[in-house]
Amino acid sequence: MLTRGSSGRTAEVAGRLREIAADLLATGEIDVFIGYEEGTLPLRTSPAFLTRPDDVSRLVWNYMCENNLAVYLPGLKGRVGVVVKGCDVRALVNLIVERQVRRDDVKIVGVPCGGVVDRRKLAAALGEGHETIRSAAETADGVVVVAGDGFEKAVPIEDVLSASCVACTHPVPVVYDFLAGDDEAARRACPKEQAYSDVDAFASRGPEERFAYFAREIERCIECYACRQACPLCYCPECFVDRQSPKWVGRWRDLSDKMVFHLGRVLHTAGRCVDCGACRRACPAGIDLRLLAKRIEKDVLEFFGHEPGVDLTAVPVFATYKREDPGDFIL
Amino acid sequence: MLNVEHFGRQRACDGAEDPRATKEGSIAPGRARDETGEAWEPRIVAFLCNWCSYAGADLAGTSRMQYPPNVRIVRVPCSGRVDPLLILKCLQQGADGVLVSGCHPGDCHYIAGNYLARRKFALLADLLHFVGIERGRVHFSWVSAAEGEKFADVVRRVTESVKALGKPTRLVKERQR
Repeated sequence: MLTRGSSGRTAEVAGRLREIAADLLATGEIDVFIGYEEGTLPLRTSPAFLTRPDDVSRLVWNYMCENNLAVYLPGLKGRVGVVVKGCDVRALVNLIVERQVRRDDVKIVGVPCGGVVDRRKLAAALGEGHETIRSAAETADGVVVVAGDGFEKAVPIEDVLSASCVACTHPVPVVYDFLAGDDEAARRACPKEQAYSDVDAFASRGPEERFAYFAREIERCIECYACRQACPLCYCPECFVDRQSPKWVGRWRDLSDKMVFHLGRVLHTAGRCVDCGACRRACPAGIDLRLLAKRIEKDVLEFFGHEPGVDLTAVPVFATYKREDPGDFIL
Repeated sequence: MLNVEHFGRQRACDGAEDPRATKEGSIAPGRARDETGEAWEPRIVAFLCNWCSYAGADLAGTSRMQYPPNVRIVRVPCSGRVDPLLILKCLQQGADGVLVSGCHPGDCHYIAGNYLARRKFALLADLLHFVGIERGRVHFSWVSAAEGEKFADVVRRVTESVKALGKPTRLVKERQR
């Protein structure tokens, strides 16, 4: 039997989530509750869609609740309760601002977030020969004990947090109907001036080096478009990569086509991307998808003073303009 | 719908025996050379808005102003119509440079198309630079219908900038090189 318990704070949150879900479902305020349940492998959780109050015992909360559940909301019929972390709710705010989801149709159950584990970082922390993980359990607040064939190792969560979580500026949901857990339990927000340190470090390299890195990363793309599928903001009925006329992206595994796809995608999520990290986690090739998005996020903040997903009354950044927007680059 | 692949096909077909290649070379001063030492003239796609810049280009022409013949003009209803993807696609399909030109701020026929375009272009320009694609490949300008001289000047500056960079190697589709 795989044991993947949670302890202390996370157990408390899970208990609150069950209470809230049971209550909402019992009173008929919502038709479906979307949360997390145990996955079929250790260190995995799956999205859970609950329709009956009896099912709420399936709900869990731990450091592996990584999926951004806002991805299920556009186009969903009926009223929904959804569990969101600090980043997820910002994606949801975007969806509401862009009128893909009606605020009245959704009960937002926020969780003050302690960050989620990056499985690739964890694998690196465990080292070679420790690929097969049999069980993982949170033994104390902020420590995961991972056990596999012939090894057992305690890993502090802080060391293996996803890069998006390290740079997170809003660990506590900015909008919610219910808050499961204490604000105090959330990660400390990353100071604004540190949020873009990796982007700035990359920008300080030479153009040849930057292009070489970009090409090396994008070359690995197998064009599965998992990043698009995982992204809550990629809800277009027909994506530009799927269009046949005009054909924006060729199908011959050409590097330049992959580059056009990734540059196009990042431009389409410009001013909307909240760095939830869903694309990066979904990528089977482990491409550094965050870098471009983070640069654009920084640009949008610097050029237009816009921070996505923090204000329900905001106007999408490309649906408006200011006379004093930067224009020095124009001849 | 503008066929974005058209430009690439045309370029892929016409080679050294294209009569225009020699003709253009003889007009433009200071012919650039590619890595094999052959004369090379950049081809620059210019997206000009129907109401200002296209008329500006027309004025430059009817006034017999001299400017490099390296631009291939695409008339668009508004600079706001120019999707950043079009620019990426031009570079990918073998354009050596891209110019997008629209009405001056405040003069847009559609009130705010150029303001909205400016936001998109600011991000695109920075993103291209960030991933290591030369800044001098993609240019933006505001040219009014009365500014024939400015249009000629912009084309001169853009052509010089692209010539200085030489043939593109980044983002270009393999078969287009």
